[in-house]
Amino acid sequence: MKPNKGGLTAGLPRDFALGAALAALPQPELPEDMDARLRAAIERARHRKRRRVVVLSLAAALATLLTLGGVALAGGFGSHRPPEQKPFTPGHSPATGGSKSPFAYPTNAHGQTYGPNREGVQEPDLVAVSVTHGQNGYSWWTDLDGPLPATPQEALWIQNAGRGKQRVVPVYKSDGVTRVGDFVVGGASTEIALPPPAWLLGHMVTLARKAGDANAWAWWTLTTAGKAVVVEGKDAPSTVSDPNRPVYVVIELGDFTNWLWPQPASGSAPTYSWIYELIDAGSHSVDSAAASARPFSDTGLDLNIVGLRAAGGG
Amino acid sequence: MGRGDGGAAETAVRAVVMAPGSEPADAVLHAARRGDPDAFMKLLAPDRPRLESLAHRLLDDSSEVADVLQEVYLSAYRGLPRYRGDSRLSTWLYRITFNACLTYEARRPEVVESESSNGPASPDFAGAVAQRLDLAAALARLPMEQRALVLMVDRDGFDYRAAAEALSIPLGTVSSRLAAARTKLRKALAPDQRGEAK
Repeated sequence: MKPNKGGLTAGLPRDFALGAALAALPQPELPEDMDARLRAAIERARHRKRRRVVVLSLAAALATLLTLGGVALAGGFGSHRPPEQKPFTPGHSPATGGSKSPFAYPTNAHGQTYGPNREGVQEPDLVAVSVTHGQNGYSWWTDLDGPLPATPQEALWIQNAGRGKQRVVPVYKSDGVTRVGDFVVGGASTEIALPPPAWLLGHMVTLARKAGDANAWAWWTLTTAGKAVVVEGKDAPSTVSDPNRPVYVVIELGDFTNWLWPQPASGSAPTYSWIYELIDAGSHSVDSAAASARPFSDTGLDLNIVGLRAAGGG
Repeated sequence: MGRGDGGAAETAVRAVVMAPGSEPADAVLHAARRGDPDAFMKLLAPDRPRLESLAHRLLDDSSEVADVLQEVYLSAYRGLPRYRGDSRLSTWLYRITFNACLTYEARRPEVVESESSNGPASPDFAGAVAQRLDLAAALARLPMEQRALVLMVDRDGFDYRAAAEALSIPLGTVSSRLAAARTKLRKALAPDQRGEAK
């Protein structure tokens, strides 16, 4: 085989003779009950299913917290884990400490675990946090970790949306319901994401719930019709009749499985992650909306992130 | 696409169904993503024999194959809701398997080989399997990545790009490492040519 121009060894893309010889090697001898064991493990996983997150910028988040000087997380975060994107159901208790650890977190009246996060142990539902204003308490770890990207494109979008503003995370008593304070996490910016108007928040929560994921994450901003059309991408109109008309932009990310609009002719089941709506600021009517597998353009929009679970979605 | 003139009920919207080029039937994939165990097992079925063989050939301790595979399948089950169809399902499953084996081997403590307490194999037994084990032994001596590449490309028919994606290595690296693996394995297939001067 001759080295090619790039110094790589050229040759046949596939060695069929070698492949056939490899295919003739004996298969592994696996336990006869392997399928049964796998099904049992799946059933256990279904009952203990919970979100696991990839911490996008753990070091940055911790650095921000340290820089703020007002927040310390007892016990620290857990390590990176692959994400899981099924809605978290309060009261559906996950494993206490994981199958490989003897440590067991205490549980509240709803069966949710709480306590300081411990290295090497599956994190509790409610992670102990301390704040400078208000009482020390617990935050939902799903709130702490933020939206979950499924692709590098999504990760980049999430990182850059809203120019890296920080998020306000609610702090609760160990019951996960009684709110006792807030603290701020994440973000490369010192600016904090603004909360949406109450009617808009309710609208976003309802939208996410109808789409099939009450624990979705959302971004919003108040802009003008002329600027908002960037979200529509190639479907944006070439001209906007009243470009200065105030318009709210809502973008949501979640595990959406319900059709919100008339089904396409194929009738296939929806599996999309992203929704947008452009909402007239005066009438609160939806001008335009769409769903997609990929994030929408947000060029020029000053977005603010909000977790819909914390807003009452979950 | 239409823009509504007011009221959510009149909003005409397009919905883009994702997962371009996804091979499994949409209904099975959708059900599996929602946690249906039967649908998940059905989704796995076409790839399982090759995944099990891959794990078997990547792990130095074959007694651990079943446990590692359980972890692979559970990881796939948990991660399936996040599978977006950007790569083929097989590629995604191979990546999970390779990473699981890599992680297992990295954590496995050094095992000091000791003589079998059952005594040496009989000459007849050794002779009967020696030829067949030449290739298996040569495969086992390859670095894990080369083993995975030759199994994926030459045995299972992955193209170079899919193999690069599954193993998270550059495309150029696939060619060079595959060539190295093939050279070593071909010697095992043709033992009379060993040591022959080139």
